[in-house]
Amino acid sequence: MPKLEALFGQSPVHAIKAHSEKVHACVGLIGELFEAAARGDGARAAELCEQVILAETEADKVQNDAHERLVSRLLLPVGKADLVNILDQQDSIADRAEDLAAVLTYREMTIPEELRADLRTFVERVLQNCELTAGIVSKIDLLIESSFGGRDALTVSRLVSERNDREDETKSVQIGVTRRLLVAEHGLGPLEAMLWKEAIDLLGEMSRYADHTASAIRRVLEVR
Amino acid sequence: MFGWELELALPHGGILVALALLFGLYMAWSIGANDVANAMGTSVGSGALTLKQAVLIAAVMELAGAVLVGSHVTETVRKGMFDPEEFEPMALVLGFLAALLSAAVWLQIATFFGWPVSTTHSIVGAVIGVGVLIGGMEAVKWGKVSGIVASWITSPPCGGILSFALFRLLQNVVINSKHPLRETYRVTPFLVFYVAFVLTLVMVWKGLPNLKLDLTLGRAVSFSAATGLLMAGLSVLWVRRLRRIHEAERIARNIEVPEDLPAGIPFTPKDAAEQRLRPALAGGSDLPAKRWEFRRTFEFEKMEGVFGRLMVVSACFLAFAHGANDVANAIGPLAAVLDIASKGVVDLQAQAPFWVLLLGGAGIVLGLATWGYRVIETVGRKITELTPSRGFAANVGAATTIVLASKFGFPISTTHTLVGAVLGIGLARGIGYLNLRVVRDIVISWIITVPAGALLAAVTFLILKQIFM
Repeated sequence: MPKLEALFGQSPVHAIKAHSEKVHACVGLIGELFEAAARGDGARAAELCEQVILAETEADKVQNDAHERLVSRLLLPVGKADLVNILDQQDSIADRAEDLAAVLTYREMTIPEELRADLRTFVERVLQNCELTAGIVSKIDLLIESSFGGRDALTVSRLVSERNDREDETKSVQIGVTRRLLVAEHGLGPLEAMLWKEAIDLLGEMSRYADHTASAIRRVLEVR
Repeated sequence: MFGWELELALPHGGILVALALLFGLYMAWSIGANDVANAMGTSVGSGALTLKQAVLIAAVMELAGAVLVGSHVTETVRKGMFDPEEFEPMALVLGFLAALLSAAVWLQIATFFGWPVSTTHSIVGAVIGVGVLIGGMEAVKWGKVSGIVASWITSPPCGGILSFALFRLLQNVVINSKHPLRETYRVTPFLVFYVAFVLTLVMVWKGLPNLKLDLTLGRAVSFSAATGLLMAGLSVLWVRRLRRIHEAERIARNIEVPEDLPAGIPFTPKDAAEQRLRPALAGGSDLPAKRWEFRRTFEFEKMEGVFGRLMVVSACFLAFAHGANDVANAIGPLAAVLDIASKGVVDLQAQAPFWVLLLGGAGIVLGLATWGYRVIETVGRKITELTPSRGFAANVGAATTIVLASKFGFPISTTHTLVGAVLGIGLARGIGYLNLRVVRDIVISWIITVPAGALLAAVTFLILKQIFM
């Protein structure tokens, strides 16, 4: 007898949320790592960097599991390519967090007092952006319940639009911080200045990929 | 009154009848053991029913379906596919016996190797096989047979279309509305009416004359409508009670009155640095987006709770449909053997006796009680992706298709129809994951089972002929 239960399995759509949790466990360490690096606590920074790398590996595992489950003969509520895209964009957030952790621990760095507040605001902003994306991703359960359409889809798409607006603001904040870093130099050596510049760039990329994740989710919505 | 008086007019009549009873019961047992889980699995899996309740309800509904509507399909299997008058009585008895035995053996083999095989298709294939062997190609009513085959191909899409339409309706009216829970309360009586109406209609319209269940269409419709209205009225009372319970829980959990978010209010504060977003997103937030999520989650949770109960109603419907359709697989050939063996001549004019249908129903219940409950549990655990609202739509779409087919005497595969219905929900983006490989299995089952059943039945017939003739 053809088995009814053979039709069903574990949905790869749910994996988006599981993956998001792993990615944001990784991102959540960045704040403390940044503080440690900024005050020149190399030992603590190295420890946190290890944790970031571990968390990133975990996220990769969830992503690979989801990819493996996407066999060809599958009927999903969202397009397969769209699903893969969401996971890829989301995974890039964790990848950049890992790169950032490495950059912050290459060598012990100092930071001038007048730049510290600026940088801290920027880091916080990026982390908030990532969390806003996590908040959008966490609504995937509701979207599954309402088949990615109707009222819930509309609300999520409004959330994504707001997230896009924030990304534009974040980009100008990033340019401002980078300019202040490079223009004044603040007595930093060129190597240190370049490392901070790279850290800022990677933070910007984290925020950008988080934004892309949100946009990728909007793409599977059916807003009428 | 049941026609127990069985005078055996054929040589070896006693042995033949005993074998027919044995194989018939075996078929009924295996149907009850394996297929009933499709109807009840979701209800047990979602916790709407305990295993014990599910077995009890399934037993009652399967039996009712088998006895009240099962005769139509039984007639088709018994005498619809060829002209029985043209056969010798002994050959026909052995033919039906061979059909039963080979179908049972074939199912056993297929189950062992995990091949996708339908009980219905096996028995139909087997009956055609012996028909051709005994009477030649011209003895089989190919028009009727092609009608049956067409019903196999059309029934899964039918179930799919009905379920798709029903689920789309639920999406538009309930799920995507401002207040899903409130809309659920509103549509519940209509859904209950529909199920009760169709269920009563197939029972009383041209049903069993000896139970006085053979009303004309007009009277049957008005009687069914009255029953439907009564059940809908009862469901209104039930919904009122649920509404009070849900309202109390909503207040206890401090979820605000479900109002739509006014347009223009941003979901997230612009000045995030001041608002300290991180603790806010962790829960217990007063952010508009978070409040919206709490409310939607609560409403969906309770909505699925209501549909969990409705799914029980739909599972009853499906169990009834299954009983109506599948009892014929065991009872069709058995009834024919009994009829011929008692009369000594081929005269299949009379309806299959009531007690034979009862026997088939009892066999299904027996299978359910001895083995089926385990399968129900397994299936229930595996198909949790089918949430109550989805399960309801799938069950109702499939059951409607199956009872209509049964009413017109088409022996279709209940599992295939249910798979079609589930795919319909999937096409409406209702289910997270569906493995389309099952569709391939179904097509294979269409192609292999009939020839295999026919061939096996032919071989079995020749062996039986050596023994008894």
